Amino acid sequence: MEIKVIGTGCEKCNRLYQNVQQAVNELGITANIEKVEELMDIVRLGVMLTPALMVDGKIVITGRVPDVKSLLSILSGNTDK
Amino acid sequence: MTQKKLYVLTGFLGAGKTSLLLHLLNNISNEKIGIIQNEFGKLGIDGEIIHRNGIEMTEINRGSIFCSCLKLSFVQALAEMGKLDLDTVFVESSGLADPSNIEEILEATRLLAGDVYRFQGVVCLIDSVNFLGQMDDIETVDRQLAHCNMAVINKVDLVDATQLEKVITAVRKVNPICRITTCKNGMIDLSLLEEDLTSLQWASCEDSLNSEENKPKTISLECNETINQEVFTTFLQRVLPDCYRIKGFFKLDSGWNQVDVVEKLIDYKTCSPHEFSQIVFLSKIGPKVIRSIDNAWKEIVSLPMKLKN
Repeated sequence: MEIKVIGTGCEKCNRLYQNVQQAVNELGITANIEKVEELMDIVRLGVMLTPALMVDGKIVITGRVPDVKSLLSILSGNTDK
Repeated sequence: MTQKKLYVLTGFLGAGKTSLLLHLLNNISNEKIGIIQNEFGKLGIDGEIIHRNGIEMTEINRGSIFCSCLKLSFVQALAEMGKLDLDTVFVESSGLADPSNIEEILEATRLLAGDVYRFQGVVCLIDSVNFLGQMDDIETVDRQLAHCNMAVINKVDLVDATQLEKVITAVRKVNPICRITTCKNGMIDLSLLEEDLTSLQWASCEDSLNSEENKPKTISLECNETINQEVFTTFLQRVLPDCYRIKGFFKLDSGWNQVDVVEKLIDYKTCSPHEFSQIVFLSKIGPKVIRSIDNAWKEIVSLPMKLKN
């Protein structure tokens, strides 16, 4: 699984990254978690609101920090409500 | 659609950015103008001052547009404005904004929206009364000047020739290349806008000093009472040492006034009535300013008011 945590390095983005790491650990899945912090890269990915989460090329979260429980659900393939 | 001219206005709190913008708007009335207004506080005080019919305005508040937390919004605002049929776009950045990363912003805008802008340069306002002191204390002032194409030394009517000479020397020391001009009340010679300023670049792109961690505290005060002007001035004098800047609209016994405080200078200008009085304080001492304002108000004014984050 390719996961990108997208945001310009603010506190929310760091929290999202930590939550994602924890969710990945709890699920026991193999995932490459990348932080995308450069403005140009963020714009190239088509993200309009940060922090954002991209899983295997698809933007699944924009503009908020889901808790670990929600991330467990998102990352194990359920639809995010 | 032809490219829009894009200017970015910088300069420390109270240097005269809004005054300069007003002067430009009053004198280029045949152009279609867009403005992106940036304030540190929640309230768009300057946006209200500038607002008039026929001008496209976007406000980005609660921080610096060059800060990591807002720069994506800034790029998006530029991209959105780039789609409109406009001749010129002005960006008025907040007084604490450090534009060192403007090139990165412009590149991201080009990526998002294409070549919609013809960048004309960064114009930095210098307060000839307070600049020398500010330059020693505040790194943002240095960055604003280093990264500009033109420095406008404002308020020259308030200083003598010796002081002006010192300011010009100090400006040159920080930026050996930029165009320098002087004026009062932000009333620059409009022909300067015809000059190609972009070749006059001194400092290259670097990260802005603005960050979420060092974002200064802003507090706003709301009030429905009419206050005696002398009493209000005494209150302002008590709190101004703790503030970079104080500004807003207030109902005084002399009528509705636009209030402007820069360092020790308190300025009143009559204005049209508002729904209620509102003042924004940009703190030098972080959240402790809340106690300072509250105590001073209770002691000196002693009328109902609300403080808001």
